[in-house]
Amino acid sequence: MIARFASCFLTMTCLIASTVATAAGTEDARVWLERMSQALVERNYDGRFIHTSQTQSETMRIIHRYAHGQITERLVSLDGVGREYIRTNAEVTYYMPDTRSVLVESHAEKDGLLSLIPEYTPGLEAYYDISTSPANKLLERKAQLVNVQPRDEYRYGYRLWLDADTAMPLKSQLVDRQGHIVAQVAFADLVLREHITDRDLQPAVDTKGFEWIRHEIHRQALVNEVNDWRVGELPPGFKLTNSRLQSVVGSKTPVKHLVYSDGLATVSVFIDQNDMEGQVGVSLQKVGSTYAFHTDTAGYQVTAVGEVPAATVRSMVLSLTHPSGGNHESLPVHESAVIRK
Amino acid sequence: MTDAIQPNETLQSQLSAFLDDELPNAETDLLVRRLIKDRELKQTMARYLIVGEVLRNTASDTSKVAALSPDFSKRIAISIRQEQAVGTKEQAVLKNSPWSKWLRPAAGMALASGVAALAFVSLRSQSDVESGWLAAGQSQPAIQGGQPSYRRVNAVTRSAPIPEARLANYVVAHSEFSSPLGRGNQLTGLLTSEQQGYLQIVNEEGVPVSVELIKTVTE
Repeated sequence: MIARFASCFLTMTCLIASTVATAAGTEDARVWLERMSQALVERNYDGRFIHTSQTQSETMRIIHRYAHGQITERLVSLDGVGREYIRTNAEVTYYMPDTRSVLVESHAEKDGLLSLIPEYTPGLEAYYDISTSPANKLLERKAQLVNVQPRDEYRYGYRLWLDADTAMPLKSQLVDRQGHIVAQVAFADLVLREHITDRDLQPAVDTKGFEWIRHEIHRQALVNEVNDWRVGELPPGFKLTNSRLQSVVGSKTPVKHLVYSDGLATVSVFIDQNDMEGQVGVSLQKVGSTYAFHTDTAGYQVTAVGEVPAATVRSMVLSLTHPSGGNHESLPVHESAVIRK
Repeated sequence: MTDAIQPNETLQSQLSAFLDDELPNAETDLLVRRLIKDRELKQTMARYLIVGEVLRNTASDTSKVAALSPDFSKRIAISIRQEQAVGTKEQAVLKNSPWSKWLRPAAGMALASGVAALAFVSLRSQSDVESGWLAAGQSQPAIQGGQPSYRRVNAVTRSAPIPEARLANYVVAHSEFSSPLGRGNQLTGLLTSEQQGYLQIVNEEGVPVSVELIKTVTE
């Protein structure tokens, strides 16, 4: 009897210890994620990396400066035609030498949003299995591996090799539910610098004769109008976190922008009212590892954009409802236009 | 002579392991540094990525092709013989491809040839059309007499692509609300997409369903 009791006690103790250890491990992993986010925002760094996605690879250089709460970042493609962007707290300036144009996108929150360090709460674990494990050295630096495995098909996860000292990601992989690599960034060199000069952050592109396209966010945002729109079938964990009106290339009127997040992944839904009649169609496009699902319907163009699987952006667009005389009606998208697999 | 070939084979094997996520970190460091400097090696990797993706997606979807054509492998063999111009180069790529192991489940379907891969892509494009990746009311390419034709499919699902500047606008606006890591990936994607073009329509696995990918494989 005593032996059985001792055995049960030992088993329970092991189980509790294991649960506590797992919880501690998960918390530790979340702390690593927050440290990484903070490092990406608040460190000064200059590095070259290889970006590979499913069908392409490219060499890039990134120079990032953080001073007095202000971010300035320059990302340059070292291959191809030399596209680059300069990002600050106020705006993103995107240089496209191949089309001889420059796109300038002003940010809604000039001081807050981009320098915000996301907080990864325990609630995230309902949708991701987050853990840490030891890793071998990378770039001759001691590394820590953080695994963020999605628990369903509606989101991607990450495998992150972080510098053990600074939490800077030395290598990162975007992975799907099965663990397949969707995209990878591997640094060839990464220098953490004390100071980065203005000269380092100047674009190499000569913009003489280029077309400049500027867009402003409509801060007077007709919030109620934006919030009248709803995604009927949100993937588990996603909720509306932001909404605004903004100008978009090729649109005469402000476009409604709804932002949904599960705490890690984010999806934007853009709703553009237009005067096109009778056109119904869908398309799925990809920019790097970001999917864009788009539909033209009578009166509206709707696009969902996110670094999530295609099924997620598609289901969000197809379940979007809009206000009509106080009642919500589904967009007139023909389901027959898209077959669910 | 052998000495001259050996480094290539070593590098190819390292590339394979890198893309399969099986290369030790120490070797990854060296390979990535070399990739930054060696344009030819980078192009080789780009080819691996494209061919690998084609094979991965087609090999995983053999049931759909088989349903279309129970006699598929025989016609592929005939096509291979007919396509004299294509072959050596693609076979070399496939032979050295890190995804050669993806071929094993479909070995009986004679996938180990560039022509086969092309045919699969072509068929897949057609089956995507059949699945409805089209604007409502747009006509479908015919599959004559139950036999899939191997002609390359143009203008598939190009019903409503988002113009490049507008899509860039959407991604930039979206990135403002993403995490620092996600934001970096999204903006990097904008720069990497310049070679492929935003207007490319993709299927659910992210593989372009237009003819450009096929051309890339054959070049």
